[in-house]
Amino acid sequence: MIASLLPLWILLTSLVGGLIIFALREGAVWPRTFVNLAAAVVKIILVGWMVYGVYHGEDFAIGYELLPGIDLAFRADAFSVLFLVLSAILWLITTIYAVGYLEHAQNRRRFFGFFSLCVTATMGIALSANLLTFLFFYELLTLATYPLIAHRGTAASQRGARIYLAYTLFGGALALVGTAWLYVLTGGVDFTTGGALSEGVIASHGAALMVIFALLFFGFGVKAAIVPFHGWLPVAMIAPAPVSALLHAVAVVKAGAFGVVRLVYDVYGIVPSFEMGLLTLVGIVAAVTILYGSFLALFQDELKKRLAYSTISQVSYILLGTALFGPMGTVGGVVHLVHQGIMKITLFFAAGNIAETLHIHRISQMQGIGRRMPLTMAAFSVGAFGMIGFPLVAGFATKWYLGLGAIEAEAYWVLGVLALSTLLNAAYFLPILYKAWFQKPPKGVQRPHQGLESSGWLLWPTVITALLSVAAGVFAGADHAPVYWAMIVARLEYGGLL
Amino acid sequence: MSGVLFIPWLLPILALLIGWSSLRVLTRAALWTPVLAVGVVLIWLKERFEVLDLHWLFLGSQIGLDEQGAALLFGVAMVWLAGALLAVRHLRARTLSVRFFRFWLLALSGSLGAILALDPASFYLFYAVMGLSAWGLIDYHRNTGSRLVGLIYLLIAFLGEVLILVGLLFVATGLEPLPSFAWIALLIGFGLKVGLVGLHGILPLIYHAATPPAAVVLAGAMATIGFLGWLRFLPLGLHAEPFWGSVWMIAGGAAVLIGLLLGLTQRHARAILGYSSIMQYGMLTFVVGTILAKPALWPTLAPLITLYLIGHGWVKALLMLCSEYLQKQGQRLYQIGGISLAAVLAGVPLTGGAGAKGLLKTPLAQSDLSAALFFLLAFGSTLLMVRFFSTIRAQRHPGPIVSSRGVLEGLFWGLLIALVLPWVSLGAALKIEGLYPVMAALLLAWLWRRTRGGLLLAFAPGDLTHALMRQLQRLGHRLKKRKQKPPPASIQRALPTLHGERVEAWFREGMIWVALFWLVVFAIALGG
Repeated sequence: MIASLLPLWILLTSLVGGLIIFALREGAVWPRTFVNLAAAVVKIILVGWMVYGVYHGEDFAIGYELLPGIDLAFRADAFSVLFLVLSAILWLITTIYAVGYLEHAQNRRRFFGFFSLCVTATMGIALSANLLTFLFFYELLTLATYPLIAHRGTAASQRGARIYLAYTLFGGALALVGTAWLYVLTGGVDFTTGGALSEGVIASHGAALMVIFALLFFGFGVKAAIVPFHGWLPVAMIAPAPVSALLHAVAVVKAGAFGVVRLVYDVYGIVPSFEMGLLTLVGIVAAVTILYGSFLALFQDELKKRLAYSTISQVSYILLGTALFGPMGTVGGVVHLVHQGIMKITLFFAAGNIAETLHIHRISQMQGIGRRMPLTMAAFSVGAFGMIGFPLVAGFATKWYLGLGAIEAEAYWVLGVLALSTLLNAAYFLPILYKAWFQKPPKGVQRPHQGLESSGWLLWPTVITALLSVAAGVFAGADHAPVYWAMIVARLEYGGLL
Repeated sequence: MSGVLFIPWLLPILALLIGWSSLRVLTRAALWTPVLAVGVVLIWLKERFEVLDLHWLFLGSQIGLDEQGAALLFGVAMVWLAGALLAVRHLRARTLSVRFFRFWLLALSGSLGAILALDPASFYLFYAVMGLSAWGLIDYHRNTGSRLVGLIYLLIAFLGEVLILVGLLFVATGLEPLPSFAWIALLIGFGLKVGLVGLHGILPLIYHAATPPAAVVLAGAMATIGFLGWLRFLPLGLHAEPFWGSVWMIAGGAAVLIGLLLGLTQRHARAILGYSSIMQYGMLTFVVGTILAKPALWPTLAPLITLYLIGHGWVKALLMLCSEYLQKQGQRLYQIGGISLAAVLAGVPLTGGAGAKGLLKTPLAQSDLSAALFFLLAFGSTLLMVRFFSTIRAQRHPGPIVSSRGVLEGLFWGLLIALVLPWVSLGAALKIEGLYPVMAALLLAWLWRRTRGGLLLAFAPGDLTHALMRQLQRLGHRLKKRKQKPPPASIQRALPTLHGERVEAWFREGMIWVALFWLVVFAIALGG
């Protein structure tokens, strides 16, 4: 009984944690931190249990009928497990970071409360068994994130949050229309390996299905920051660093990408998507986003903005992998969900730490920062090399499988996109590294203080995610590495075809 | 026993992590890793290893030694040892830089690892580590000049690595026949390391700009690994690829010619060695082209190419060392050494050069083109060596007399003897024809000296690449909206002074012509 309700327990840990935090007084720092960390640890244990179960073929499914024909249903498959593990681990690490980051900030109760709700929504997205449940949590995520972006309460942060809300509500509306239409046509969409649409529906409603696909794709695409719906992401940079980190690595952009992957594989099915030419749409949008995002990143002097444009570009690798018809492309796309998460969160943690410790926000001020904050910059360098696709860091495995996928699908132009984006990534990351490590710091600047280069709360999470990124790259071929799980996903989706 | 295969590439990395700022640990690792690598080869000779199948490492690594790998590992390790010995000595006189040895260890690990890696992904990994960390060896002085050279090197290295990645992806899928896309990526990707015409100038440019110990390993070890990429991953010996064979042959022939013509415009000793490398790799590129056209030649030629690569690496490394010694006064013994090396490079009978060339030539005997190219190679190498020695004579500066006793000197003479002596017994090294091009070149040099002397044209090291670098610098200034500053002294020294502006105009046009040349070749390739 306890085991079969596992999806529910996983959701409840952060939900209950969030509610308790709302109930605590603002000044109750240690009880709040305890609840935060305890919930995160319990969640990791539960997710670990689920991973074990899924790996041994156990089926975690649970559903409640809300209205006739409309279920709130949860289920765990290999793909959800991948996303769950990522979210659970990074939630714990980000919580630690956030406790240190907000040490002297206002309204921490509100912050951590919504932070927990945000994670609950992400877990719900990962565990949804049908399109409607997915949409429910997708919208919950939009709402839970808004107060986090606006947290500082300044005019700029309120503006950023408003723009974010405008974009995502628009995306949500598109997705809602698409979902409703699809429910009318089919009577219900459970996520199904190989596709949920029957052949009859595909045969009789071809044109409508294409429009619905576009609605859902662009609806989810807003959160995944595809061009031309990417505008909110650089503006939302105004949020506190832990929020940006979680936004870019796990919660919001990943929810969008996760939605697109579900849409292609488990709603339409990879073969029908391919036959209806829908993959071409996804592929072209992804390629344009990858190059455009990288190109714009070149011109940003604000560190977090450059990282934001880099996210726009990197998340579309996931979509690109989805668009490549063949198991290798799937591996590349699905694994990037994890790889991009751990690398990008490292970069944001490092940027936040630099901003907090040295009050440096611009790349043009970063001369010699490597000497002042060696560990932080080392972690940043790991993330940057990973984004470039340097072997030894996780990002290379992604590029390798995407490349193999492109050849498998005979889409050689994708190799050009990969090559060009690699060069662009190098062009906007290497100058930062050069500045930080090889240029002299301005005169009179010393290391911040004796001993540790910054607060340990901010430093150690950064170092840990950097180590995770390296481990995922060096041991990419090991059992239970992200690539391994991505292969399980690919094997399931192409089960009948291999 | 195959566990020892971890030593050559893992040891430098571990030493780097443990002794991050301890110069003692870093230099010890730089010295001992090559020695242990040679030890690995010795163990291998006694007992062949199995390939290590490390599915958990990277994307499923296969680390192993085959005959080709063992020979190369030995050859390349010797070069790294010589370089490390020189670095320890050379850099002690200046601010001995910890940073330099960090990059050194990374590059060392990469280049030895690339020899051991049998699967495309791991090869790429090691190759990329080697290529990128070489930047730290090139931009050692960190003045404006070396920074620019470092930048252009990084640009070209990155371009090369991205193309190699694309090419190796095709290799990894095992697609047959390889599409044109893959051929072009592999040609340019690895070609950039061995002086592909167009961006060939990067070799002389970096040899000239790097510190002497870095130049030793750049010329003697890293370019060799670039060439190894072709040997490992081109479908050699499988089926005939006449078209791509001819593309490689054209690229190789052009490199021999360009290396000679542009090498004669140089006034810096190490840059001349760079042009000589372009010629030598051009010849080998031509041979690879021949094999692509006639796959039956592969089994005979494979070991010979490896041998030639090792020999060439040693000669270049020793000539780099020699140029260091000869620029100090009173090094009569090293003059003999230098001239012997020049003789090996030119392929004078009785030397290893003649032996290697002779062996290589025999299977190619039917082709007139290859015979002509071999003649040109010997002729050109002799001319470049004459130029090399007269440059050194002009640049000689008084310095402390270097001891002729020491480990480095022992290694120098040991390798030199290995390059000359054992070949005497080999039939191929005895053919008197080997002497003709050398005699012709010496005669020409002598006549030139008597009648006119001097250079017809003086180009900066790296010709087109140098011009490209200057353009980049200008672009950088323009982007930063700075006023055009006169180039700093470190660049001015290296600039053509005889024909300044006109020469630069030639280069700009030259780049267009080179670009057109490759465009036509690739257009035909993609169309056919």
